[in-house]
Amino acid sequence: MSFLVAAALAVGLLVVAPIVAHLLRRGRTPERIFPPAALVARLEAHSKERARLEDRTLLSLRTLMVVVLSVLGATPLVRCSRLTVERPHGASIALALVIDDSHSMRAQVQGETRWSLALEGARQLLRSARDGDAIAIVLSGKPARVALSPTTDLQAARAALGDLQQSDRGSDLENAITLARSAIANLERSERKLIVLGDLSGSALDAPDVSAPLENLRQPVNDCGLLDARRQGDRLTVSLACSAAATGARSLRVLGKQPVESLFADPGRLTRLALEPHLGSQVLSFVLSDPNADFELELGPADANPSNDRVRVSPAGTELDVAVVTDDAAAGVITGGPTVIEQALLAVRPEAIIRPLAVLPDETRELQGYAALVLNDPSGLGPESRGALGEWLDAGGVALGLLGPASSGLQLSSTLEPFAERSARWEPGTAPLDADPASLSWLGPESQRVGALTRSGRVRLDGAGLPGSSVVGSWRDGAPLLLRRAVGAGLVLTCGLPASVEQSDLALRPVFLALLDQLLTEAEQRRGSGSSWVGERWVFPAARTISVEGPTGPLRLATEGCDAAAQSSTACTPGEQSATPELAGQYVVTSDGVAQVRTARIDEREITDPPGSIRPATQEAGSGMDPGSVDASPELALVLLAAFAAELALRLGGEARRRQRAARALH
Amino acid sequence: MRRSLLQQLDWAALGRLRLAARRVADGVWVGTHESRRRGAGLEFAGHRSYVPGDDLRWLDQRALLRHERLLIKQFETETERPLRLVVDATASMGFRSEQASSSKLDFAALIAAALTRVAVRSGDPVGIDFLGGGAAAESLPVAGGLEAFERALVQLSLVEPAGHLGERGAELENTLNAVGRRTVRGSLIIVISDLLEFGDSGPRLLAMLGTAGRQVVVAQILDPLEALFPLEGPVRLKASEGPLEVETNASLARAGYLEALAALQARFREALRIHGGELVICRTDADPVRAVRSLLRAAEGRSA
Repeated sequence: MSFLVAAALAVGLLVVAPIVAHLLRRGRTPERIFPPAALVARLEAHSKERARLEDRTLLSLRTLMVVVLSVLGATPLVRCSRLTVERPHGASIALALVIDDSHSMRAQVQGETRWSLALEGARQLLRSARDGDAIAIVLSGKPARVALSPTTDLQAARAALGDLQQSDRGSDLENAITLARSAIANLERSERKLIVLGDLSGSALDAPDVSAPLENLRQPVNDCGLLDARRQGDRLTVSLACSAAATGARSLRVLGKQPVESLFADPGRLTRLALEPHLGSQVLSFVLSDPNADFELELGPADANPSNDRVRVSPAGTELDVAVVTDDAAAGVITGGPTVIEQALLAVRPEAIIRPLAVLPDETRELQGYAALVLNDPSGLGPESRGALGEWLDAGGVALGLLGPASSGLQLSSTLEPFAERSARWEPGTAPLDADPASLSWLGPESQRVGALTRSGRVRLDGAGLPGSSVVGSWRDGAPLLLRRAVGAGLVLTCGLPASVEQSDLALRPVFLALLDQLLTEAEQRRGSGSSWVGERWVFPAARTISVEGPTGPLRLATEGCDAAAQSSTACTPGEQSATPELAGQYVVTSDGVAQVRTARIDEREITDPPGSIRPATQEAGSGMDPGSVDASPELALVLLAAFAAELALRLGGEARRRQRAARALH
Repeated sequence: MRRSLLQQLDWAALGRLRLAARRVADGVWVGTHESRRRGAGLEFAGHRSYVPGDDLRWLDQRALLRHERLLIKQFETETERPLRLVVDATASMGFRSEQASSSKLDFAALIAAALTRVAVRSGDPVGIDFLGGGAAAESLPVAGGLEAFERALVQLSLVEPAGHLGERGAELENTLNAVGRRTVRGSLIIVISDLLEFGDSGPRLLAMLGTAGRQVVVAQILDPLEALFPLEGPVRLKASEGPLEVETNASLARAGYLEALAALQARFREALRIHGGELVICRTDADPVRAVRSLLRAAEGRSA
């Protein structure tokens, strides 16, 4: 603080002057000669009291004026602590705000949620924006998305900011920063600033063009949360996670109409439970005595994020059921136990229920309980099986056909539909063949090691694709390895290699896990499962009447190829429909009158990941922030003016009233 | 060295007082006045109640036998009627508020001068006595003619508001007793004062002036501030005579003050009425002509 600031603020000490003047005035009543004073009654106490009451408003106003005058004198040297955008060159800038709307932003710091603090920071930044500045807003909840494309309309930016809603999504900060960077990259501004308003979700930012000014958002919080409570038969599996800063034992409480004793086989275990928090997730298992009871679980005591302390136990029948039709001899392992397909599925989705089937069911109702089907080296599908499978697929089923040598020897009435035409044939060969990693890149980094996949041959799918099929994976020689075909609301994937380790190396490669993961993800999107992540899109077939009722009301459905305005009219031909759950909890999806319960769950990393950090050098170099460069002079001057006007009005009003009373008394 | 009377005299002020007194007197009446005295005479003028000190020769014995009341017969006679003015020149009479055009003493001097003018024009002798007023306030013996008027003007111009009536009204009693002794039967005594420092004995002393065939009329001179008390809010009031200070809230105390003032006037009015006296209230912001008319009506026995 400089001498000038100190001197200006010292003027504030004069605040005692009106107080002293008031006390002096109060103590000395106006005196005048009045010969018949002896006839006047003494009312000393009352007169002093009147003096106090009459002068209090004026005293307050004068005190306020002295204080404001003092601060006004010190302004702009005295700064307000709020975010503003720094303009080293004074020119217009391009500003990208990355706002974290993930679940971790629900945690409270300093009595407010991180989300509200982030929004307030964004508002302050927008207030400091000037005409000509380009503003973009990107949300870093998973998946990252643009909430406002770059615009110079500051009013629109404020409106977009006001429309933002908190979600329970996971975090996708890295992609959000990439998105924000690309959004302002082509704008012709001398300065481009990228500001992250979030807890950084465990990331360590060191990019020089990124700043994260709100340090209070990165304070660790004491949080333990329930991820989900799944019911599998008579067993209840409860998943919970705690942050590194979590302290204090937690307990579980049942919220429901039925007493605990009637819900659990061993109710004492639940009531005695004292969970010591430790970083990471925990899974608790209970035996239910009433598998169909509807109740909620609550984790206590309340912590920094009370929004994840309660979860509804998923109703029976919402598990991700996967049917595996295979010959144990063909897909089994030497050590015994489940087949490689079952083991791989469990590795990908531990909570999934895997049901090995000896033969493909002939009736649709037998397939309806399954969300996905894996068929290994089928020796052809009969008409009844094809019909049942077709209806199941049409209703949203997802099937993976792993074709092998058995698929070549088809009986008369059997075909490979809906996986391939009859023309698919087994091509024996002992020379190892490589798949093309580039063609499988959509499966992620696991697709890189796909060399020498064959052992005894492969199924040639050239020309065997059914109408509507597309090649989504191929061999080095260009022959199709993987086909994809949409059937109604469902999906069929056809692979030219079986899971048998005797005939191919596929089941032992990471790409097989990636393929199964993709299969189950598609199944979750189409048929639902016990749980899917918040923010994952749910896809529904076209021309179905779909409604989704979420924890806070109906969910908006988007139709492929129709923008939001067109959806309300009949002009748009609807394509694939989709909905995205923004909040954790249970959703009731009604498709053509058939209701289904889906659960959107929180990513446990939103609880377990500590807040991220930003390298100090980066913060200083690329901050673009001046956390206190606001000149409050105009506001203070207005306050001073208002105070002067108020005093003038009070004085004039008082004088007028006094004159009126005197005139009335005289006449 | 004490200045002589002529050196002290403000001739300009005297001129103004003379003109004002003439104007006021001319506004009252001109030459139609007849000096009247009730008492012994030729023409019966009615009865009045007996008061101790009345001449028993005029006791109506028939009325005593008929009504068992002591009544004195009164007769009218054409004769000169001496006028004795008693002017209060104590410190409180120097008060003048913002609403008034003159101090109470100035107003009293104007009234006294006008009355002197009226009396002289009617052929009646005039004498003046002062209450307070310092060394310059010297009594004027009863005398007639324009010279008496001029002397009265000089004396009224010289007098300054000063002094007080002493503890328990000692000076008041001395002065009024002296006035009573010097005033002959049939005289009219007009006391011009604010009556604020007269104390408890004031009404009795004034009433006693109305005995022995004299008539007394009292003019209470009040500033509009004293008459209405239009002050507001907290105020500290200081009496002009004595150390009295009163801190009060004027808005709240107004009603009580006006009641006390009315009670004071009622006490004087009651005491004076016993001997046929009258009390006339005069405000310094009022027309002095009307004030003099009121006093003369009161002296005539008509309502003021």
